[in-house]
Amino acid sequence: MDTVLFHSATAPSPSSMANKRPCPSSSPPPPPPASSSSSSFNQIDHLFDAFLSLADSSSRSHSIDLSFDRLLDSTASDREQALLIDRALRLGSSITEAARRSARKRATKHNSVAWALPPDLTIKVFSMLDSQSLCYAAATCSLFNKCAMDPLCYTNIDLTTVVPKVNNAVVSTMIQRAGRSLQSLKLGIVPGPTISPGSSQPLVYTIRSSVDVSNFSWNDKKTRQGKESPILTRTCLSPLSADGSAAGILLRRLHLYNIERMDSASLCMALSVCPSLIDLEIVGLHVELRQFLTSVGLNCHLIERLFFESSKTGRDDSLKSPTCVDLVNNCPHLTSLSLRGFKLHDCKVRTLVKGFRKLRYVDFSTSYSITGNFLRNLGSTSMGTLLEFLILRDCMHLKETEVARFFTAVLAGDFKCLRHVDISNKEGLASEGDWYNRSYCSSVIPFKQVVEERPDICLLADFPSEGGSFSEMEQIIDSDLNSEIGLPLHHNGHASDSSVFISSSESSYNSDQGSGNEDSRDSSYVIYEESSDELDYFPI
Amino acid sequence: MASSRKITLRSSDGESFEVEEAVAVESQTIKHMIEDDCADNAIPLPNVTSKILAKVIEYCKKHVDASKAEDRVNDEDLKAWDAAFIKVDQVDQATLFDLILAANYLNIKSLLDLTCQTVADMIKGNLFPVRNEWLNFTFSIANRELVLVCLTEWVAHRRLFCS
Repeated sequence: MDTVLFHSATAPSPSSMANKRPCPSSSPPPPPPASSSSSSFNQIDHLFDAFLSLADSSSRSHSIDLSFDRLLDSTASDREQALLIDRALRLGSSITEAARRSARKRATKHNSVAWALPPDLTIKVFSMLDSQSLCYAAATCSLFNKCAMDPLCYTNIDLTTVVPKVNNAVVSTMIQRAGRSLQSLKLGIVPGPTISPGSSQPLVYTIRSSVDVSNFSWNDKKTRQGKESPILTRTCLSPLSADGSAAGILLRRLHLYNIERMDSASLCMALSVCPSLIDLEIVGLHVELRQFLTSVGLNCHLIERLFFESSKTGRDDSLKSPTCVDLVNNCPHLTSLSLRGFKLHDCKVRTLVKGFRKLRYVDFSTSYSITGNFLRNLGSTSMGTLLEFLILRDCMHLKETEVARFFTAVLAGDFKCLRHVDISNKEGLASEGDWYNRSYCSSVIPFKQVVEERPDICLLADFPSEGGSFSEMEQIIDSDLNSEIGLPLHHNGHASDSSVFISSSESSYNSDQGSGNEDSRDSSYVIYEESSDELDYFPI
Repeated sequence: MASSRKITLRSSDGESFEVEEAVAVESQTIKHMIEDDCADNAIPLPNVTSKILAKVIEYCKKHVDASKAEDRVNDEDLKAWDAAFIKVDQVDQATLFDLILAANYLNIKSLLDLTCQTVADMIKGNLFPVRNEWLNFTFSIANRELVLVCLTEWVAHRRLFCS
């Protein structure tokens, strides 16, 4: 029986028959004349049947090996042996191909029963998936694949990862698929959810090693020069400009995190094709503040939320007054402004907060140089009435006297909409005079009164303590404070827990230079004696 | 002015359901039919079985009642009710799909969003086995070691997986 299989020279070769149709049981192939082809077809059927039943036996490979060897041995000429081997190879691959094709068809059929939704509803479901799951779904079967290519699935592209594993090609493909449907794009490296609560931990994150990618790097062979980089490079946003900026034109949200290789020029280029941007969040990019704000002012007139965190805390001193003026004039709709980790001067900040008429959310955490002076006399401006969130965490030069002045204004009736103030500082606040003198527990700031008279304000003033109990203070505080806060944690990016307290934390930061103020105090709590608004503040 | 007119809906298997007009017009399709004056007799719904129609009516009734109450607190309660309504052991996968198709046909946006989101969550949670055509075994999306991050390399890897 073995020899019959390989000597079926009369019939057309099995490989060509397999090419004609995957399923031999269906109607015979058209070209050959009816009777002879159907009889030869049946012969092939039998042969196949016999051959495949052979495949069932456990010693199959062994017996096929032996049989083939015997066949070769029995063939006389070298040339005929070569032909035989060649035919066997072709036969083998045809059978494999035919079997795979059938398996695919069966799987497709199974899926079309198991998945009862028509393509348009499948697309609707897919549009609710995150980008990662969408890719997984698309790799599953042809139906999912086709549906996952629809632009509607790519409205919100979120390719942020904890380790670098996305490169330009991925971004480019997704943006291309989105086309004009693209509304939101998030890109880059975000630290995982291990941020310690309560700290103003910046999202800046340096990529330790550009080859620190997951094992399954599907770009593994392309790290040599001239080839595709495994991580995002400066041109990763260029697809936004492609096709007449189809993707960029309607883009509303752009969030970029810790893209090492991005520079000012490429970022500004991207901004120039995104006139509809409403929400822009940039963290840890090596982009100069002034250039960035200039570009925003030039291109993004509809911007409502601006969040920019420096990659080099405190060293970017590029902001100039004309930039602030231009920004304020060109972007009148701004409601939320966060500039973290820059060197900002009070006069320039003042231009910004006075100039934006709709500003409700302000965050200048970890800024250098600002003293809080900019907060003076804002009562009559739009900010005096609209401001809801004021966050000045860890501003090294923030003066307690300025903070006190601010709260006096609050108590006087300004800032009616104020809901949240955060002046926590790992190093305490700057005392009057030399900013090296730190105040860890200010007696000039009317904490208690603010808490009593404005219970709607969530007040965070987390300073290091010198020891001293605060339990009695907590009792008083808890009864007054309104614990319902709407902390816009996604704005800040830090997962501070929303417990509301004025406290001294346990950490003992003992700054030797400025510890003179604490000794004269009995407890770590401030008793506010006078409620006069005109009180002049004296540092104790 | 609240019309308490009753509308009769007839499912594909001939069962009739009488509902208040306010509940019936949660469905834009039915609403248009009523406006076009096709609602004198029962409204036939040939694409919806009685089992599914009953669930749809249950959903619409709850949402109409909730919107009447106009209470802030009801928002959370309603969401909880929705979650319970669509919970997978209450609603098997086939029913879930039928609900999607019905919500689509009847044009009830909130139900359609709810059901589609549920399926999306199932896909995210690897609860949905779909046979992978190229890997030749029933492959749930949980097999992440084998699945790609992005489809740019899909074709190349198809060859890799199939070889």
